[in-house]
Amino acid sequence: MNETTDLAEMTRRVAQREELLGRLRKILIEHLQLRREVDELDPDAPLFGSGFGLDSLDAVELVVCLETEFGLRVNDPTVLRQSFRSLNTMIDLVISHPVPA
Amino acid sequence: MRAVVTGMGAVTAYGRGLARLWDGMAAGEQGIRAIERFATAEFDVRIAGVVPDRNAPAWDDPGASLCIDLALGAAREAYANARLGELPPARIALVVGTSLGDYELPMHEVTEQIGDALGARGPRITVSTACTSSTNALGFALDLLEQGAADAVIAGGADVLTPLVLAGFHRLGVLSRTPCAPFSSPPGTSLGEGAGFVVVERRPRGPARYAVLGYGLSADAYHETGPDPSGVGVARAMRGALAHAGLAADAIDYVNAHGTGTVAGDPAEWRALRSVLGTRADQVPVSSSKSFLGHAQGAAGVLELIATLVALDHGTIPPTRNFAGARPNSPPDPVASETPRASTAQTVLCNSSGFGGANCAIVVGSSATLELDAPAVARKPVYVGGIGAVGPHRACLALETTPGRAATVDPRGLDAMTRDLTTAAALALADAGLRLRGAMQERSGLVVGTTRVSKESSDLLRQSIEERGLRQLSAPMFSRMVLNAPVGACAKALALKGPLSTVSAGDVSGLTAIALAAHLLATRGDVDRIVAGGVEEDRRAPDPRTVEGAVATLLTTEPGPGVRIRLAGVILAGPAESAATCEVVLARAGVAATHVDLVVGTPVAALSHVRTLRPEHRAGAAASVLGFAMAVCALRRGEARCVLVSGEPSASASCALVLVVEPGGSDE
Repeated sequence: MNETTDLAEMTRRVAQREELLGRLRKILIEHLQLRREVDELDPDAPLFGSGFGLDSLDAVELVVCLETEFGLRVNDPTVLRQSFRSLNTMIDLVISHPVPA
Repeated sequence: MRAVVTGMGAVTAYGRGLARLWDGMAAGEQGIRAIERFATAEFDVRIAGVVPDRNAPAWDDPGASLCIDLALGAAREAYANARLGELPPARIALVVGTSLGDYELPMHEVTEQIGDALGARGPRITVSTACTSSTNALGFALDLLEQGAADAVIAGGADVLTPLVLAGFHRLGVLSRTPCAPFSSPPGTSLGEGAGFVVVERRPRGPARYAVLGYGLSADAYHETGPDPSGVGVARAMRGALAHAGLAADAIDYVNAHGTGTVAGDPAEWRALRSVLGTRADQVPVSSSKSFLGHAQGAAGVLELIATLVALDHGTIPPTRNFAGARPNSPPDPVASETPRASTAQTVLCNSSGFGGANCAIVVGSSATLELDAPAVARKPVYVGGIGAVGPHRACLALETTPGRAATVDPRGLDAMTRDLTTAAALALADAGLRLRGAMQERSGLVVGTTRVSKESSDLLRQSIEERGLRQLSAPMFSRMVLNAPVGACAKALALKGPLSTVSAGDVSGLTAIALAAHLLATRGDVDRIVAGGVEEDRRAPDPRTVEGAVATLLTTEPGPGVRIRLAGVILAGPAESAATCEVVLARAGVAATHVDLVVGTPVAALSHVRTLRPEHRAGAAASVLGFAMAVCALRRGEARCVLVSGEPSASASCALVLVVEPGGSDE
């Protein structure tokens, strides 16, 4: 693997994360009625409690959005708890669960 | 204030009538069965306590007519048992508790139709506090009797299981695949439906074995749908009920619990019971009738109370069915059995909790020990501490406080109704110079009049269903389909943890909320101040005279500095009584008609010579509160000393009150 392909791979990954971040931010604003500007939603800020102030009802809605927007069905509560920490951990979840064809 | 139970009626998962309820319970029948009325294939849970022998409503009829049908079945049985035909219809009040505000018909019109069909022409009030609705309705029935608003009150509730309700609870993940097993396994609840009504009167006209002894209300101020796990909110309602009944906790010898069977609900309720009953909690039997009737939503509380009284009539208490070993944090004696247990219990605590953090507990017992001529409780004076308003009509009040201060209460996506109500309530508190700290929060309540759920949230729910299907509906939007959602959210935002309620009476909704709140303050020991008001977001057929937004007032038993305005008299009466109410309310206030120097609202014939302010905008739940606030402003500015506020009568009720400036304020 040479430096050029390495860079290309990194660029691809960054672009993928950016794209997912945009879609997830849109979900927070449109589906969870978070009254914030898109760039105010820090990808590392906590989703629940002191961060964006989401609660357990929003978590239920996020599970539905993962299914309808990304085709992801996650039932394991431990995985969900870890993935719902921030936008970045949600992106990790989506990337690590390739959409079934 | 205590009242005897002179009649009861019920339509349950067992079928129609009290006899059917007892037969089903005694035979150990399971009322929770496969749902047949609508398709359930897309859900993992397909059982509920559905009323048998009902025709299928079409999907475009979300159930309002079925709700009225169930309600009339139960209310007519109660009416006949109490021989209410002996009383003049204008002296019969109706209080209907119902949860789901999602019908095309506004809830108060559902109640009005029930009242018309029954011949109840006194005040017809709708209480909508989610799953505490019917329990709260019965509590307010005591207050209406005490106020002299009626000689008999038919109080209870009705709710229907619709596909939307099943989908919503399914989405929240709180349903059990098998008939629910409260305090046991597997966790999860079973939904239900039905109607139950109780007739209460101050004095029996015939044999009456039971009496409603007292009730208590509180707010969790914690979460939209989940209970405060500490149970302190529930405990506050239970203590309030005991104090209102004038009883010590030791008097309780059976508890009919809310007991939904969920992981969050059962342990919170048990913690509350332990803190209220102390060491006796381990000996007192605690059971949940939801194990055979399912969770009948807003009708659950009154149905469980009726099931309890029917069981007591046969020398038994209702069981908890489906019990297969205790979960942690549950009562040691859950009456685990398929059939009722023999018992000599006399005094019972029934508890309900609901979405929006609403809690209501009620104490019932034998009427034999009742002192019917007990001296009336000394009434505390009630003052107007502050007012607040949001919306295009705010300008009518020329207020000094600005909405900007309270605008920060919206960190999350609250709908317009919730934002307006919370801001108006915050402004009323600020206007009164109050900051609620510590224990003050527990003695501060919130009672709000409204007529519809938020259109904004309702549209978002529809949109989520259209885009993703019923199974994948938006859980946050579903949680806002109860009429009390904005009220619960406001209580949470402002930490108002005392008595919490939501009422509907058409255009007089807001003034009705003020009247009920004033009575709570005057007669109860567990509350010092209540924010009362009205909120209206958008009516589906907009009336150009509608007051949009929210108007609130802070009522208090402790007058602050400034002009001291006392709420000298209040009356709630039937829809056709508005002319007579003004004379009565002046007499109650001890005010001669000649002292009234301003009328706000509907013109009063007997006071036609007095200056009358009739707001141009007078439709909607907030309108009558706007009139109230205009009266307060006039008194503060010294333009009047004694105001009669006369609400626009609706088909639900009429309401009037008298405000007077009292010496002792800083203007003297």
